[in-house]
Amino acid sequence: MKNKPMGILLLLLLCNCVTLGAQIDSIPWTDSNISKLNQFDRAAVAAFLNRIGGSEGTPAALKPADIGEFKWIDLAGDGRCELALTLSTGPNFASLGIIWQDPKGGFSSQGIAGEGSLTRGIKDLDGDGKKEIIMGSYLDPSGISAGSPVSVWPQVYRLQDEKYVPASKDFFEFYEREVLPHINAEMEKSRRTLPPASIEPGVGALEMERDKILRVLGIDPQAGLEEARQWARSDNPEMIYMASCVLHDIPGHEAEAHAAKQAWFQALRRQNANAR
Amino acid sequence: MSNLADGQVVSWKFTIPNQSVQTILTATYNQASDCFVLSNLTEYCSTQDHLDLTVAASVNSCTQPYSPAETGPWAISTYDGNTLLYSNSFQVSRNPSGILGVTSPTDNQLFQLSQGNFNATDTVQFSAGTNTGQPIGWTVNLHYQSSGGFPNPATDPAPLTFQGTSYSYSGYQAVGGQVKATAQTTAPDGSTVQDCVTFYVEGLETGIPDTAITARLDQLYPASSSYLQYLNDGTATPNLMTGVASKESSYQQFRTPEESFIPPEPDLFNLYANFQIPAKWPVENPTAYCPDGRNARGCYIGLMQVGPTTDSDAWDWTSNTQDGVNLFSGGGSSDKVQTAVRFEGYIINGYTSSKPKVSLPAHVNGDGSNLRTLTGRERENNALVLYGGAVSNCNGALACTVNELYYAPQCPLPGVQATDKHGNLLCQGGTWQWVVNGANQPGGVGYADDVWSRRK
Repeated sequence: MKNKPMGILLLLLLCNCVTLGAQIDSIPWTDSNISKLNQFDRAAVAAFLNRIGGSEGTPAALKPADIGEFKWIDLAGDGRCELALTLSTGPNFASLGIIWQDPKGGFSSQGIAGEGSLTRGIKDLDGDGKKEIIMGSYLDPSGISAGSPVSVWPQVYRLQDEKYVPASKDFFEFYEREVLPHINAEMEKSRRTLPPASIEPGVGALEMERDKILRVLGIDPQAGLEEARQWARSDNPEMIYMASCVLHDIPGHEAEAHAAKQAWFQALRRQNANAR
Repeated sequence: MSNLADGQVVSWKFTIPNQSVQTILTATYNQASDCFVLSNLTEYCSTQDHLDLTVAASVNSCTQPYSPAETGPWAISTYDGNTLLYSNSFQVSRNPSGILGVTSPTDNQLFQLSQGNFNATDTVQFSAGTNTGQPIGWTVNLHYQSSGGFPNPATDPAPLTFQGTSYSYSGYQAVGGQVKATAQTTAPDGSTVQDCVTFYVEGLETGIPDTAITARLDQLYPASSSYLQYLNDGTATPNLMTGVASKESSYQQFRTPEESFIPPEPDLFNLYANFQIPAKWPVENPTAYCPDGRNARGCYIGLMQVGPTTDSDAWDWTSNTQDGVNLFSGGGSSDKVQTAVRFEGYIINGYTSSKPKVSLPAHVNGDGSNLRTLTGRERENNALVLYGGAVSNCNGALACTVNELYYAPQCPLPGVQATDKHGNLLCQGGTWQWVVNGANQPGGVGYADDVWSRRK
């Protein structure tokens, strides 16, 4: 009789070990297995990605600490689930990865550059049963940093043929109702603390975000152009840098973007010389 | 008060030095019983529109809600509903001639890391007085985590403990943050009494001098192991790390919450919001994104934005620069230069593995030789792409990662690209060239070019 509890304990431990011992790729990625899949830890996910990506034993292998959030979600609303995860291997760039398991057990993956959030950035915006992804996409192609006054804008991706594609233009209402009012309110709040007509990187970054959205939605394809030209004429390196990013992003203004980058370079040199 | 209405509320509130308002007591009038019912449930009846109360609140410097920094200007106010009836101001201060009072440090005092190599504070003098004749024991705890909670868990130093009315501590080194000092003694009735002060260790208020940063980075990088081993062909860039520091942090190890930047530096411990004290805190990564599953700032820190954040990388700029250079070219297993050189080798010579099964093709020129190796300067560019993290969207896939470096191979005309029986990529009649990989890696290329432009 005394052995019975021990036997049950052993059985429980054994069951637990079987679950934990199973590899991510040996379990069908279906809605019914989501809770089981979501028990895997970061190390198991990193090992799985390195295995399917062929990077085991190479410097390309992900470390568990490179992985941020991760979870299996039914993105397409088809009863199968996908692994979604956020990744960062350095301070300036991050991404959101999606791994699909095909019916034969193989895997394909997609990486979307930008700042993602599985809790706030994956939702069905249009009610079609398929989840959209909202990424913080970089307004500066060289990424985000504590040394550059440029941030991100919320870009919507839609699922199309088992791949997420940029589709912000299709979600006008989302921007009109949820995004633009918030940006405008933030700009208004920031401007209240500034002298009239002054330019300042904090407000400038918000203007960049708003203008990018206006351009992408087609509301104003030249949004931000005049502000960028004004910033480019300032003596503030941060503003000039922001101007170069905006001009670079508006088709047909490559020469102005190049000139702004040169002006920024000169402004940096002056700043460095003054610091010495 | 006159014309008391049923349900009318009278309240007494403290305004404490951090400008927060704490309700001490409320009294609600009940017309049917002609009683005031206090928030402590006692009743005052038949008051005839008068309520005489002595309102008292115990102020303990060591416990909430009146700590930290309860010393300074206070006010007690009486409200009829939301209407202010009376307000009286008074000062709360410590009394070293009483049972126990700490006189040094003072609440919210800032100690800068201005000594040593701008990584240590001056001496910190702890003093307290007591009229009990009993010894005073001290416990001093320093705490730091970035706004996103890094290091996680906190790696605070062991508490500092000592005895006496006065103690001269040699100072804090390579740490910073909030310090809570608790002095304790025994009262005449045998009970234990405590007095607490909260002060802060911050970065150098004038900022680490640019010249010091430049000199250190220009000394560390060319002497680093992978620089000497892989980049030492005369083409590498001895001052490259100054560009990294400029890109990553604008050459700043510390910033105040009021410094104009995007977004503003977090207001650690609410010191700016509560007391308008702009302390210098370690520069945190600017977006709310960090590994370890949380959306937060402060996992990358300081001049070189190294991470995950440690106390020394946050508070000692010499450690931060050393760790940044080490990460780039220090010779460790994740050294970016070494990693870039290995990827370069995979591209030139191919790479095969049976488990997991993966095969990357070698790049063979028309004359049978292989694609040339990169120069030191070119290797730096590949390593910069890795330092910034621009390959993270490859989800750890090797073939993707090697395709997303700063340079990619191209078979220019008159060469014609073909594949041999081993799967190698041939440039028949031509020579493979390295070209800037702007198509696959615009972000990383932009990052590396930006770093290059920002060198000092």
